[in-house]
Amino acid sequence: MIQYIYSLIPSIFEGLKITIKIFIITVALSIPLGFFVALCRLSTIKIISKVTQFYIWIMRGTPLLLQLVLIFFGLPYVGLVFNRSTAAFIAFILNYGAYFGEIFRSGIQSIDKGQYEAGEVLGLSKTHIFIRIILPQVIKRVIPPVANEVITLIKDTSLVYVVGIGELLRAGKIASNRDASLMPLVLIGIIYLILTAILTRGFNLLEKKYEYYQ
Amino acid sequence: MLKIKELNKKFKGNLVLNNLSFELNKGEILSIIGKSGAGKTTTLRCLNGLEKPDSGTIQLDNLFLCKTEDEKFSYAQKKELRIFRRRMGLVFQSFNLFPHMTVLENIIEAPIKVLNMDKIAATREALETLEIIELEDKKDAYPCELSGGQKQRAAIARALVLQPEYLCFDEPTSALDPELSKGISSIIKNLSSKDMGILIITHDMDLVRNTSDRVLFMDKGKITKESTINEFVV
Repeated sequence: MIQYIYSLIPSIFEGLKITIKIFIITVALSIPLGFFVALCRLSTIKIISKVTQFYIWIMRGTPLLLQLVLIFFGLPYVGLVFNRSTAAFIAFILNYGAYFGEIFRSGIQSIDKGQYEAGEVLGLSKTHIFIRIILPQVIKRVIPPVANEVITLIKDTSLVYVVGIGELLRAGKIASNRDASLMPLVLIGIIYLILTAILTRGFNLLEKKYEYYQ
Repeated sequence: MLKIKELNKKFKGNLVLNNLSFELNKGEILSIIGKSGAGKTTTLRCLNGLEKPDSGTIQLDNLFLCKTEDEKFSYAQKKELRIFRRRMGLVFQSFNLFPHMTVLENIIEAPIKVLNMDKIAATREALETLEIIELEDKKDAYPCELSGGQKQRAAIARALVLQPEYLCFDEPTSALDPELSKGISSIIKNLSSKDMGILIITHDMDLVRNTSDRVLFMDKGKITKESTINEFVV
């Protein structure tokens, strides 16, 4: 038994590396994108806000799996060819950028108007008010929903199997089919749990860090 | 002298300010009283550049926040607005302290950014102001750790540190118990004795009696009656 598990480690480790790579790149790029999306969505220039709303609707309104398939298999028809991992990154970043965008938008809108006005009356510039007064308060408020989204992401990475990328779950499935055993899948489940536990802990610490004010 | 002349403001067809005119001198304490919806808060918001009137003139000595000349209304450019704001302060009814900053950080934010002070000088100024307002022991506290009265004093200190010539108070006693209301009266009187012009909007007749030199009665967007404090009996 132990020996069997041991024999699975190399392939599972390869899969885990891919999963973590997709996860980290998506988080690192979709959060800044989400911030940009939120600003565009709140833009007073109507066309920018409308286009952003349309983008959010498409990204949230269709399954991520479908977006992956269309970007990898569909875009070549219009002359846009990406390799597997680029297609996967594009799909994940665009999709999560939309979700983060909505989280940041609601965070920004949840800050009391009085905070802006207090800054204005003191003669602070709009940019200064946003960066020094609004943003820190937004960050504190969006930590819980961002944590939710990030934990969903680590599980969603398994969807890249559809474009033929061998990540963690796929490694488990291959071993499971080959050996007619559920053991590899149980093992994969445990690895996901460990990953989410680490993330949860991380976000809890971050929340704690902002607990010094209400 | 702060001069408000024929100020008009409509919200969705409702006339909130109706040819409002009054004046406020340096060193003078002026109270505006009146029912809710009389336009008192809108007046304050216009004076502090938070709301644009539709027409009329707001003038601080020879600096204009807005003016109507030959029936043409013009509003201050960014630079003039900034200068105007430096000379005019506002203490909000709900204080609007920045919750993620300590009392001291709340106070030094604007002097560093607006008056280009360095942090040491701004801190020195802030501590002096806190001493006047008797809040120096709370300088490192966050707003959520303060009582209503302390929050208000922090908000006053934040406005004072910019050394405005005029300071507006929106319902300064609405969040305070009677004992603390006396404290705010003496703070306000102390400020006017240093030649600051003070405008108070309030429902609190005790506050009016204890502080003001003049009282304006406001109804439906205009001044209906003016009296000196000696004539004022309620």
